[in-house]
Amino acid sequence: MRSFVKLLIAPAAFAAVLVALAAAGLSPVSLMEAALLAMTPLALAAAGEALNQKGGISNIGIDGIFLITATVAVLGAEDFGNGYAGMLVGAALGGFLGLIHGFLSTYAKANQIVAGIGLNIFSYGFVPYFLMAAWGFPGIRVPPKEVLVPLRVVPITGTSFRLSEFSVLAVVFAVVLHFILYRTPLGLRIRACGESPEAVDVAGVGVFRLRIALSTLGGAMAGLGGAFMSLAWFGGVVKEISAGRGFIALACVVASGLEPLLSLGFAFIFGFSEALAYAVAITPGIKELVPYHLVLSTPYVVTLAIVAVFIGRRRFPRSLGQPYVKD
Amino acid sequence: MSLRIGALHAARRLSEASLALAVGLAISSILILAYGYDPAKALYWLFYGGFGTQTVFLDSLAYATPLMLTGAAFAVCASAGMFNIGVEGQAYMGAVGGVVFGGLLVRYLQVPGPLGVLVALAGSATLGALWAVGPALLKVLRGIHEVISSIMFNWMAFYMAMYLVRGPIVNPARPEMSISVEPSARFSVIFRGSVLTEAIYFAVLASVLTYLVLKLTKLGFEIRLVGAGLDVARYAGISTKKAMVSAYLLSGALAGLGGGLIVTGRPPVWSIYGTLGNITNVGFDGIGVSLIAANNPVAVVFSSVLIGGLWNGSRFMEPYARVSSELSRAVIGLIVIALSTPEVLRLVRRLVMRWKT
Repeated sequence: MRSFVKLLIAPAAFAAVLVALAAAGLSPVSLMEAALLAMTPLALAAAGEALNQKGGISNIGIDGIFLITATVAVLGAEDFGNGYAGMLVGAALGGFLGLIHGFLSTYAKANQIVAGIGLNIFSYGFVPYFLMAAWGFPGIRVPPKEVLVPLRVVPITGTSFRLSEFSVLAVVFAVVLHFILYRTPLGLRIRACGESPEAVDVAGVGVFRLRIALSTLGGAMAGLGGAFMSLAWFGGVVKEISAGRGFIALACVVASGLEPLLSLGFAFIFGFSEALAYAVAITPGIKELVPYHLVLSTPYVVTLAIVAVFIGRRRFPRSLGQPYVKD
Repeated sequence: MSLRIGALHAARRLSEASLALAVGLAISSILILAYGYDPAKALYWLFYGGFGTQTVFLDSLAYATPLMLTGAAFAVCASAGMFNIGVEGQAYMGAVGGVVFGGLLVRYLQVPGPLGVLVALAGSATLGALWAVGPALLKVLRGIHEVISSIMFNWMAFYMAMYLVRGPIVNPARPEMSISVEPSARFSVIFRGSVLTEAIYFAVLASVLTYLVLKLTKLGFEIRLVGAGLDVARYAGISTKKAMVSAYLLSGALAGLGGGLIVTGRPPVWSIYGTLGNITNVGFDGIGVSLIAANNPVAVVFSSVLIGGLWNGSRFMEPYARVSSELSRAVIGLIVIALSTPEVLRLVRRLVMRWKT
């Protein structure tokens, strides 16, 4: 009963916030449009990484995957002349990077945090290099409009709402992965793999293979998110396009205690706070009240505050981040 | 005896690091080749431009100078078993502190000669440490992984520095940069015609001191014990939280000094660009520097010279081999990835040995 009441509090409070913002002159429709766009890459990456961490590997290189796939997906879209092909290129490349991280974290017994840091640093160098190598122009690429992924217009009474099918897909993914994790034998294996890999091993399931598969899945979903940023959201790529969102996705994961559905909720909160910060920073009448650059830092402050509040009650898989060594 | 073991250990680390460098350069060569450039030419200019002549080598040392401090900063936290990815943001704030103290305070108080440098760097260390307080407390009080929290602090520092540099501390005469530090708060150039300043003496001294603090003091011992494992430290009766926070603050102060050395020790600007172009990545490169040096602050001095040389050389690689200079950061990333897996490196070494014999 109490949890049911709690379930109602959040949407009610959110509706109240929207009404208050509308009164302050910020359109709720465009705010929600922007929030769902900002939510999508976070939600995709967070759901995949939640499963990955449940299985025992943590990948802090998500930000690097975002950056690399956002950039290469643009080239894919231009070469195939189709934005959806570009999204697939992003997902495939992300999966490949996740596969490498999975291999390093299992067979190669890597320190997963160091490997993740390395992937991030690599991406900070690779992306400017790639932009220059592929298009001969430093730091930015705006592809022709035809190869972008268009937003769909959803008619709602009185107004129209622009929405990407990938935002819907992100929600579907979160639900499906949550179901797999908690309602299927495979999910049981995944959870056991993070808690006591020895037992899983004894039961005849390959710990390494399962972990690598999860890392690949996590990478592919982050890659889809990265491609979404450049092809569906911003309509182009700049060399710092991810702006630390990979780490915000990780914050969603830890704040949710590695639960895909809950991480979706956090992804929405962060997406909304980013949309709100940007709206405040550009809306005449409001933007004069606060310094532009300080407003842009609010999503990061919100992230810290939310993680600080919610993390206290979480517990994490026993062997998360530990390389599994067979006896 | 223990000295001999130490030397053996150092030799093994050195061979691991060189192997990682080789792996990084090999994969980068593939990337260079894949986009139709000439890897031999690119690598030649990368190394010739970094280490080939005395002039470029001096400039490489200048590039290395701030990295020694951000590297030592990361090493301190790593000794306590923590990853201070926040060195980047702490360095931004350190640069801001250097400009505020070395520009405004030094001018206001009319601080003379060498003392002005110390005032400026005091500002850097203070602001750097201040920016480390948040992640440190979130870690010990709420158990939030420092990697996530310090990245958030990096972005807050980025926007904070951008706001300050374009607003309150903008140079009225040249709005594309901040005010400069006063001449009395600048390190002097060692050789004419090079950008190398006496800041490098300060950086080397600070790295060595950091090493001594870690090895010889009670605080250093506690930090290393925490790094060896929380249970060990707890059984030894150490306040693990206190040691972790101390390590983080010391790390933040060092990273702040790294940012401070850019504004007090690098001609000709002595200030921060409005794009933050001259201070970005000094922290991330320091992370690479520290990991290459196996998180040993003295070894950091040498790995800084390597990375500084790569950066300096990349300025030659761009015009002469047409390869974007940013590729050197990809090389650093690949080196770090290779170093994360000593097992693989060992395997590669064994294969190389077998192939040789």
